[in-house]
Amino acid sequence: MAQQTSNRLPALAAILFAAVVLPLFLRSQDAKSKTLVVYCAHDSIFADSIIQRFEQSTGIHVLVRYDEEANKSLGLTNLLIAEKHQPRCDVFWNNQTLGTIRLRNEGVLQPCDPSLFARIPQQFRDSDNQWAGFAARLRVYIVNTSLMSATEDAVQESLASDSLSQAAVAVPLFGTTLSHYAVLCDEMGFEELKAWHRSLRERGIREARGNGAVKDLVAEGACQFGFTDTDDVFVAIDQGKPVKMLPVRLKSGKTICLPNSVAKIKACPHPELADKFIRYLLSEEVEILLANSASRQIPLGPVDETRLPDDLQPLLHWAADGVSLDGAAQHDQEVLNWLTQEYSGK
Amino acid sequence: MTLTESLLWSLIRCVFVASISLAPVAILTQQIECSTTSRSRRLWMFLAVLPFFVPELLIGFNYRLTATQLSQGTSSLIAAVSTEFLYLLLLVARSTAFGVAVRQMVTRSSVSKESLHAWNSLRPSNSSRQIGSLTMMQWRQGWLMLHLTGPWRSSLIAWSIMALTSFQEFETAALMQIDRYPVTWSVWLFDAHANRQPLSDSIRMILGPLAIELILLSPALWMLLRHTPKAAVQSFTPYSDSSGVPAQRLRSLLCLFPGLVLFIAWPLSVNLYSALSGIRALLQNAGLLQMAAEQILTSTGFAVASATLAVNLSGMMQLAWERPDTSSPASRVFKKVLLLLLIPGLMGSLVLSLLLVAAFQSSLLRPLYDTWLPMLLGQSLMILPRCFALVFIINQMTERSALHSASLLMDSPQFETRQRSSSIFWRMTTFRWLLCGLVIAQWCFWDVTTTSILRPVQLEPVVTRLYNEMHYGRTESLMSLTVLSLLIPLALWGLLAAATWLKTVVRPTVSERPR
Repeated sequence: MAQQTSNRLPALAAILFAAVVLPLFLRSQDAKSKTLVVYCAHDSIFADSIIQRFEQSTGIHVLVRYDEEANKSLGLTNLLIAEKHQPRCDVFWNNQTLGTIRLRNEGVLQPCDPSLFARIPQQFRDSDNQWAGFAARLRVYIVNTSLMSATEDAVQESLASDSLSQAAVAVPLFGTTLSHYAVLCDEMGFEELKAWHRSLRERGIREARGNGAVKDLVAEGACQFGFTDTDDVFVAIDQGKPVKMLPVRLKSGKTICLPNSVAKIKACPHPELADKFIRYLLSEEVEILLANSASRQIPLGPVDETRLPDDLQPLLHWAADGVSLDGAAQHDQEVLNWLTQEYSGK
Repeated sequence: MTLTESLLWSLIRCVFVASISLAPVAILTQQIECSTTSRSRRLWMFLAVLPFFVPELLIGFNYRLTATQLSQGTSSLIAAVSTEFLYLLLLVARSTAFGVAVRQMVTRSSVSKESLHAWNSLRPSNSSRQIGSLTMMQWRQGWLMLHLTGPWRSSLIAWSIMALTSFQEFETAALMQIDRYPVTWSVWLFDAHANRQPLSDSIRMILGPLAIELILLSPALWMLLRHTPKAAVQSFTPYSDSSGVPAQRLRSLLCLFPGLVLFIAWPLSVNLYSALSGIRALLQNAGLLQMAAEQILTSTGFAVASATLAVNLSGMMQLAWERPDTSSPASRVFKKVLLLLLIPGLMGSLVLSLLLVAAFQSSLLRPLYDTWLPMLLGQSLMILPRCFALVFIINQMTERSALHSASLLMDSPQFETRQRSSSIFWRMTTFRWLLCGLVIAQWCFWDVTTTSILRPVQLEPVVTRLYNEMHYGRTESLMSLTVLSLLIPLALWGLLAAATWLKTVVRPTVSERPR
């Protein structure tokens, strides 16, 4: 045994040497190559082609790190905070807004030239120009049309019933469902939100671990309807599942519109390249590309509407009723603290 | 539910899983050992351990809707019980596969049936309470020790390792969780950290699970480190083949059934068409195929490097442990420090990865951040406890007399004898380590947590892409990538094994003999 192990020592030393020295060598090569690093929380299957177009038109090589579904919100937002003192990322393309506002509050972002954001309406961008929104999703009810009629009355009737065992929602600790709760908190007040949430749970609503899982539960017929995002519903529709969507409306009649957002990281390695990418991402071309992708993102800036897909038309009207997210951003942490207590007993 | 409650739940579940898995493990082990031909022995072994090699993410993906559909229209209590039961069934099936592999690798008892019989005959009668100088208490202690180090030894080690792996399970539970069931501490901790919990809190919270893991592992460590027989005894019982007995075979088939159905047949039947059409589409798109191949090879490269590092570290740890205690105080400290390397892996991949991110963000290690070193270290440390156990077991398996005989025969003037003995020698040395490497590398390959947190931005391992494909419901792409991810590394491993075999066997010369 002793001999076998001592035989392995040179191999061990070689691995450790290679592991330490080669990365340093390659790192210095990489630094010279001026490659833009983008952290992207938007779905990779939709974002890939957008980024490839940028590479082709500018000749700038982009390294992308996507937010893995396995990591949920643990991924890029937390990673950017952890990397705050030595950022390797230049641009953060988030698939919603509240996480980006959190990064601004943590001092992870830097202001951009206001001209970069000029195309985007004021309500969808930061007052300090640290981030801007584009290409939005909506919070919607996904309804299985084989099990119930897809009307607002039918959904409201089901929501008011004694049993919600045929309804599904994602655990609101993550992602857009957390944003949904923060919006509700801003709209109805904290106590009313708590009462509403407890009522849902007491009446047995099914709690999945994500919006994709809610979509599956409804599309496969395990539930009649659920709360999810427009892009998840379009996945089910494209798979030929018997589903339709209806907008989630607040008491005020407003909808919950959650834009993608883009921001430049403070002390990022390639600020000039970052500006070029941000300008590209906020362009009409990209909003139209995202609108025509399988996720059917809703353009926020002015676009040629004839270039948009037909099934996006009703969503344009719903998005126009979108509630401001400024108030929700203020309640985000408070809501999360309460939900953590609610689910983890901490 | 609090962390304490979820810990207790997970602990009860893993003890239950490991305990009830012992019966099928024993039946299948007996079936394998009683097989008359090496072919039937290999077939039984292959079928028994096969479920262990099916990736956890695939199982979670296949069964994430099943629990909900089972509990549709029932009360929340029945829904929770159904989900927990399904998860339990999956864990038992996987544990059984793992347990059979462990029992096959653990050396046999050093306590013969004769010595057990002799000890039983020394039992003091209840009236006398003492026979000679032996009290009843001493006799009972001796009886227990003889059984623990004898007939119960391999079962105890298997129980310990099955309980540990069930306790650590995360992927399947996270994917199939509905209404917060199945309850597991690993998912609880993941959620807590995702909810912006500081790393310091996560580290504090990991102390409880860590203590439990050490307790679960302690029977195996105690057996392996303190009671390793120098040589296994041969049973005095005349050889009997019970493998062909219908009742034994039926029992064995029944034990194989859940694992093969849940892990192979059902996922295959549901996904075969998607996998085939996905592969067809992939083969028609050169760009996609190249990207998939790059990602699979990236994962394979990391997994091989991490496995090699872990195996070598394990070997060093074992060497340090085997050194006599008469060595210097410095070497005694070194010995303990080496064993401390087991602790990060017991913390689970989430906390370990977050700790490494924090470490590589420090000013000292910052230049190495965003290189492949954090991921290599993360995977190696994550796998180290299991790797240490495997390396220990494999070293025990080496029967020195057989090895010596084979090596003597490799000097034979007869070419055929040299060739045969070289083949035997290869199977007892290189092939065993290649198998060990394959098991460890596949653990690294499929671990999504360390990969997603620690990977350098330049490289995308395939496992993170698989998770995203799963999320978007792209079953064809997911299944085709999964099939390729299983086949490509296996093909590379096969080539490596064939190359080493050819090198050893085709031209066996004294000078080429491994020493």
